[in-house]
Amino acid sequence: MFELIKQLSEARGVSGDEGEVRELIRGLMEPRCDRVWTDRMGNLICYKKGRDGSKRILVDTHMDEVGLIVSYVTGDGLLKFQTVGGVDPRVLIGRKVRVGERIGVISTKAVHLTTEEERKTAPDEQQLFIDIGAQSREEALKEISLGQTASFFTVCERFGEGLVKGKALDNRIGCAAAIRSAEHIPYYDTYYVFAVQEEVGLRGAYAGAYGIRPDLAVVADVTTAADLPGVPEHRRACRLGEGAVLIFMEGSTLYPSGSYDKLKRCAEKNGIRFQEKELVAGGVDAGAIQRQPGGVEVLTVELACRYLHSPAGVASLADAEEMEKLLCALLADPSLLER
Amino acid sequence: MELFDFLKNRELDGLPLRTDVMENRIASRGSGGKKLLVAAALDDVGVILTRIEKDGRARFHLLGKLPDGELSGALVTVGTLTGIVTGEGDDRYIDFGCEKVELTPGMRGSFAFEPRRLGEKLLAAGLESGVTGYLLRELLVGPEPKEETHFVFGAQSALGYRGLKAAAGAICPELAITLELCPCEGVEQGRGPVLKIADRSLLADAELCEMLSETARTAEIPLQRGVFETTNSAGAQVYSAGKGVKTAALAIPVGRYGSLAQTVCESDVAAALKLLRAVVC
Repeated sequence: MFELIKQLSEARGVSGDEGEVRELIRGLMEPRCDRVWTDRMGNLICYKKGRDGSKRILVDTHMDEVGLIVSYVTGDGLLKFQTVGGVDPRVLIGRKVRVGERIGVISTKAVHLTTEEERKTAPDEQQLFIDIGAQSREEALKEISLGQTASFFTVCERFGEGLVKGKALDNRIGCAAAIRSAEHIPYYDTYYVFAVQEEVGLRGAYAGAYGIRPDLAVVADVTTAADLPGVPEHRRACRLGEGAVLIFMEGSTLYPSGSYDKLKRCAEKNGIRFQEKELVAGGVDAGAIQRQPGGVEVLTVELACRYLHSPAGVASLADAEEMEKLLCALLADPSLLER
Repeated sequence: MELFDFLKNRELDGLPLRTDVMENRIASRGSGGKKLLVAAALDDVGVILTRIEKDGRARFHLLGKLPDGELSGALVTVGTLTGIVTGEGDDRYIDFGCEKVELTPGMRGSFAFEPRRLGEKLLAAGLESGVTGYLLRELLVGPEPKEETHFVFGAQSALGYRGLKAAAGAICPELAITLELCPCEGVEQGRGPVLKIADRSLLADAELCEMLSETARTAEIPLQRGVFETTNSAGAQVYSAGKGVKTAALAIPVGRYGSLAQTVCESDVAAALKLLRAVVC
């Protein structure tokens, strides 16, 4: 699991510019599935025939990541940017990024030039720029263009006891769990949608699901964990090391209680370690899928991740394995579509 | 049934309703002509429990929006238990007065508030689902519609009318009238229902608005017109369904709009029902 997560984490795929990670996933899914294609939105869709072709399950897991987009190049060759998705602005300064083939560093006013007031708050993106070492606008524009995305440059590594750190763990770990689940034949015909542009408003998922018209969808994503000293228990949302995270509500979706019970029963029946998310926070592709014409039943499985939407998130490899096990259990379960 | 009775028991049992995947409750009557959808809210502002502490206190998330100052001290019913919202800000919880509670995260609760008469008006919590649900119920059990009509009690209305989007997408009506509440901004209680011409999310269809206005004029039903800067409409979830839907929003003006308990004039509701029956039946 770690090697797969590392491959996926280090691939580039800022929302709207998912090409590199899409091609990586395509290469991994083609041997595992019966048909693989890209739809008009750029979603990668992989069809795997099940034992029973009477129903369709959709597994949605977004492959895009938060990042930056170049909006202007100054006369001095510095790149002004805007964030793509909910990037935590407090953690940008000094970060290494990749812009095209160039490496850059996110910079701001030198500290000795700041006032005491300025040092009390994190600068916003208006005050930041990417330094790619160019001396002029002309030099910079030879290698990058306006509208080019910049992704964090972070080596994905194991550390501590069974932990992994890397960029884009949201949602490359979800993608890893989905890819590994495709090694098994599902009960029903299954469509894996590696969706685009989740981080900018669940955009790919609506189109992906609309084209498939599933009988049920399972969403695999990653969610924020604040299990750190000083955080009250009821504000932690979820915790590393306590298994897959089951959701009864998040910002974009309220799951009917029957659906949530179904998810929980499957986890219990299959001996999967899980926890229930204790805070309504964030939003996932389920919101776009559930509201399809006529509605679609959606179940969501998440994974706890600290420092979400920063250049280095931290998650537990054991939790990733539980997430994969739950996904496999759901796809093997014929009672999934009983209502 | 009288509005006051419906506000007390919210009875939809016995109606020919089917439930879709999003838990919308839907009925269909009439045939031919232009397909019409009439929508009401099925749910209202409430709570969902997120964590049960060892001492029985329950952490929660608000389903919908309420002014912050109205939460503390509010009574909430979850299952058979009633508790009181205590605490402030991030440290807010429901106190059920006992340590051992048969409650689990994910359970939903509603605000406990008995409807009552306040002078010439009615005061109740959950008024959006109460008033619009009443109107739709009375329309459904009334005379046969002249054309194909779909009655949708929309789920997750307190969360932005999410269920309605899915229902409209499946039904694909040509026309829609969404039943809503509105604040008394440029309109008054006691002067009839309000045709919402525009708000932040919807520009109502001019032709449908004209038809409703003309019907009201002919039947001598009072009807106000309103343009609102601060509201969002259920109609906004309908108009873009399928190939597009000509949509209008018929609203009842309420006092204390957006609060836990709001006031309504029965005469406004009666006029709205008369107008709806004149249009649909």
